Amino acid sequence: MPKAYMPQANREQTVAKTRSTVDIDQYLPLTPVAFEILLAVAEEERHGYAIMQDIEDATEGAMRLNPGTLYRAIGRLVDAGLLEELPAREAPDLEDARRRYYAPTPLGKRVAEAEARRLAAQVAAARSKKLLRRA
Amino acid sequence: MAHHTSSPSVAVAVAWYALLLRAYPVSFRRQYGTQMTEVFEDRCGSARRRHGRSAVAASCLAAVGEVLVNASKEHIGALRRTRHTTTPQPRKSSARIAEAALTDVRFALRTFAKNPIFAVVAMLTLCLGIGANSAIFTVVNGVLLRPLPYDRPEDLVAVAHTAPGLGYSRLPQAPATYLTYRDENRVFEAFGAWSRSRVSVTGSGDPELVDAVWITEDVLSALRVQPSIGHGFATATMADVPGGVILSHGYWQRRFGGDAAVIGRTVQLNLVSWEIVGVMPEDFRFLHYEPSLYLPNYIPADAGSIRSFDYQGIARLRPGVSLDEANRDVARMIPLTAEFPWATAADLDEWRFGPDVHPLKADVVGDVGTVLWVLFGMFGLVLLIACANVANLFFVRAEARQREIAVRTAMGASRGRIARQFLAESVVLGLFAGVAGLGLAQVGVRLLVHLAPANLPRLDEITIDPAVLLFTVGVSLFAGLVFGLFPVLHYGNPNVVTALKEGGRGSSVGRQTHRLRTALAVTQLALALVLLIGSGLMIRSFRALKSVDPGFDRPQEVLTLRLAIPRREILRGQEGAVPITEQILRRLAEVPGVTSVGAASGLPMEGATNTNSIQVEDFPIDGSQAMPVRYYKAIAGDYFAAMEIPLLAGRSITWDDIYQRRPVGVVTENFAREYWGNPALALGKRIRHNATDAWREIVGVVGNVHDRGVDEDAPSVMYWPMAVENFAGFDLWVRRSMSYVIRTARPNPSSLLPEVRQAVWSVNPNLPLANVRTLDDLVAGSLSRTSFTLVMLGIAATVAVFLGTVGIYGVISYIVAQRTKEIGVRMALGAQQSDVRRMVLRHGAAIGAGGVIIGLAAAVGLTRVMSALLFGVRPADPVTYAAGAASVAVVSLLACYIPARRAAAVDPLEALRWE
Repeated sequence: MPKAYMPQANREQTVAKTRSTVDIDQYLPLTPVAFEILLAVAEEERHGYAIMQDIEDATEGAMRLNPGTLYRAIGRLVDAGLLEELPAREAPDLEDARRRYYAPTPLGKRVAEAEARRLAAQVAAARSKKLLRRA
Repeated sequence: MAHHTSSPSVAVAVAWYALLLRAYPVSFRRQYGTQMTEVFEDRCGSARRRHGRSAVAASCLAAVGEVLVNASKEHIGALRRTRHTTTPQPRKSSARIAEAALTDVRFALRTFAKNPIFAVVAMLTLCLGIGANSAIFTVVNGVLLRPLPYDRPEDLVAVAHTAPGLGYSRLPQAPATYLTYRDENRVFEAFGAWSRSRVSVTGSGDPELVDAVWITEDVLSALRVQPSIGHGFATATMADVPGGVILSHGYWQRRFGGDAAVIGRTVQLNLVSWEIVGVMPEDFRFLHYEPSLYLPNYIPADAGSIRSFDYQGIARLRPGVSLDEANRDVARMIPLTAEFPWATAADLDEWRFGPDVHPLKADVVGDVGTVLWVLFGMFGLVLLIACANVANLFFVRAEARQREIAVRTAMGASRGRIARQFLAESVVLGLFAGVAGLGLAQVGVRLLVHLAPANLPRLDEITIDPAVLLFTVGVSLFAGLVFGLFPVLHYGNPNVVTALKEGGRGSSVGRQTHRLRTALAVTQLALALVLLIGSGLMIRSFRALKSVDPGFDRPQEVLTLRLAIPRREILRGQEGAVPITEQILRRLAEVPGVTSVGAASGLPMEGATNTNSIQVEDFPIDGSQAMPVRYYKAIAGDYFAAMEIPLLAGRSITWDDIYQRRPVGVVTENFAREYWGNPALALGKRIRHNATDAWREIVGVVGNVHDRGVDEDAPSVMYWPMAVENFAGFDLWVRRSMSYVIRTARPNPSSLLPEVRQAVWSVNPNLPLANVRTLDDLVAGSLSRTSFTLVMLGIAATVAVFLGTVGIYGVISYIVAQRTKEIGVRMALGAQQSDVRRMVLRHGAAIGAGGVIIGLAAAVGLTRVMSALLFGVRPADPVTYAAGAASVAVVSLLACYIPARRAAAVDPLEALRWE
């Protein structure tokens, strides 16, 4: 059967620009890509390619980002004040001084936590409805 | 880490990605472009290590889609952000349009993602058309459109003359005209004269012969350029020889290592010390030449008697002066030149001597304009063919989506909304193809520059610049709209009821579509035929040029080189050049494998020619008549034997003639026929250049030579000994700079070079060799414009025929698929396989015939613009037309053969059950 055309709802989240407000909820829900990026840099700062590989490993290849998607997402996170680009590295012992490293801002950490809690709540809800069985 | 691996394939991929990144908004690219490229490089590196080079290629292809999706999203995002930040009260309509465009583009991208093969095939086809057009446009832009690299280039003009009475369409400056215009003009801000030559540089390092330009003091001020180091020529020292010399930036770097202390040092030119006074700026180019040295060209007033057009005139118009006014002013000054004893008013009248002031750019560009515009037009046709193919693809898809569209219409989508969706798809596809085409163009431009004739001017100015980008975007949009419009016009308003009915097909829309698609296939074949005929005409021209007897034989066996004997090397005055030349020729003749050697002041097709007036004793002219002007050359050794120019009567010039200064000469057959009607009758007759010369006896007549290129008539030429007395105003005239011709039995004359060098340097180690090449190279150079056009048109025609074949194949296959049921019925009712095959082939033949008829008619009109490029063949050459038409007919029948066989193989039971 042919599918009827349904206008695509605009799923993009308009990201508020005012950083003074600390209403975490306005950042939620995060897009999957944004959440994965924040997860990837949660424990240590990483550069773009490392973020990409980390996400690919963490999702067992289910999420393969290309440079465009990755950096657009990074750009939005930076603009929203959730992620920051660290100044160019000078320590030569780090693997590559030339690269740009990213780390979450304090706000970014809190938003990631809030997102994780939100997802956990959803998972719990799914379990209570027997959609998901305990491992 | 991965990014340290820099295999060539990865490097290419990274360059490709960097090009693709241009699709992103500038701000985004600036911020993340480098990092994205690095990440892409890492990923390609690891893909290459794991899966080899094909994985890198796959990454490149995938990157196209990725970048286009993300870049368009980013553009839209940027658009929104500006809307949010800069206009708090957003203008409703623009916001709505942006929103709607976003939805359309997204939807288009999603449909492509669902049907990637369709998208890739359509994109590659278009990419081919757009890329080829961008490449050609890059050349057209660099050579023809971009202004000359000087200040206010539109005010720069070349000042020349017309002289139809002398048989010249364009004559440059003689001393008298230069002196007159310099002092009397009212329209030029600066007026100068220049000429090219070569000088030998000796002293430090190897001796070398370099290109030099002699310029009067006003040439640089007309161009508004001054040396970046040092200064230009001072008026007071113009006449000094030796005087000052200005180096080009490149030569300064090469010979002097860019040493700024070079000013004031001396350089040995023709074994005389000249003082270096300046270095030109790095980006300066003298018109389309690249001379190493600029020397002062001083034309004294007493040179005003010399009737020789040796200088090119260059001027800058005063602000507000038009070309017309400049021409009128030169016309006013022409009679004033008769003040000098070079010509009488009657001469000027007889010559019909007139002004020819034209834009300097016309001189720089030369006659390649026609070639490039023709190629540009022809590749435009290729793009149209590609568009027709993609339009066909869109038709097929639109047909398949008829029901989807009907549903959307039924649900309330307006006709405009659906049309917009179709157009969004085609325009997005066009832009995709444009970006890919730009990549193709970069490769194509390199190929073009490589193939281009050596005399194509401004080659180094051919680059992809914003104009090219703009052009590509324009062409992509145009292409997207052209093929997008066809389905829109036909499916924009579907019949909802028929479309929704199960199995609903064969409606009137279908038949109309068949007609349109057939028309597209016919157009494609017609355009392909035009291109085929165009390249056919070039092939015929090339063959005609090849078959022209240049006047000499077996040029591939002859090595040529240029030697100039510096004045200082010569003992006992300039006649010392004669024994040195003789020694060199004798040593060259002793080289094993050499059969004969000779020398001449200029070789055929070398572009170096001398002209002078002549008087013939048997045909005196009175003062009121103009003296005819003819080519002349000075020769030595066995020149005619080495060139294999046949001796028709009498004898050649001997060393005895040269040493004894005998007043003798040899003329070409057409010269002899012009005056005496027969070569033998010319022997013993006497000619001279002007009234003060000694009369010279014609002792031999030789065959005509196509001196100005095989595509031009052979001029009449007089050959003089290399040393003559009482000649053209000189007591003694000796050629010191000559081209040597060495004929050898060896299969590869260039292999002689080490021994030839040894032979020359055994006579004098200070002599630089220049222009070493075979005589064949000179002939090939004369054919280069034709062969370049031929190759380019050949490429265009090949692509066109290929796309046209795909087009007709697509249409016929589609029709067969549509008619499977009908064919099944026919066969069930007793039609034979051969009947079915014939039916399909007949359909294909009809399309082919339509294409041929329209193509022939179009070719008659379009090939006329090529007439300037043709030689020995008319634009309406019946053989070429017939061959082209036959090829298109055969190709279209072949293209239909496969679908015809498929139709004949239809199993009636299967076909009927299928429904």
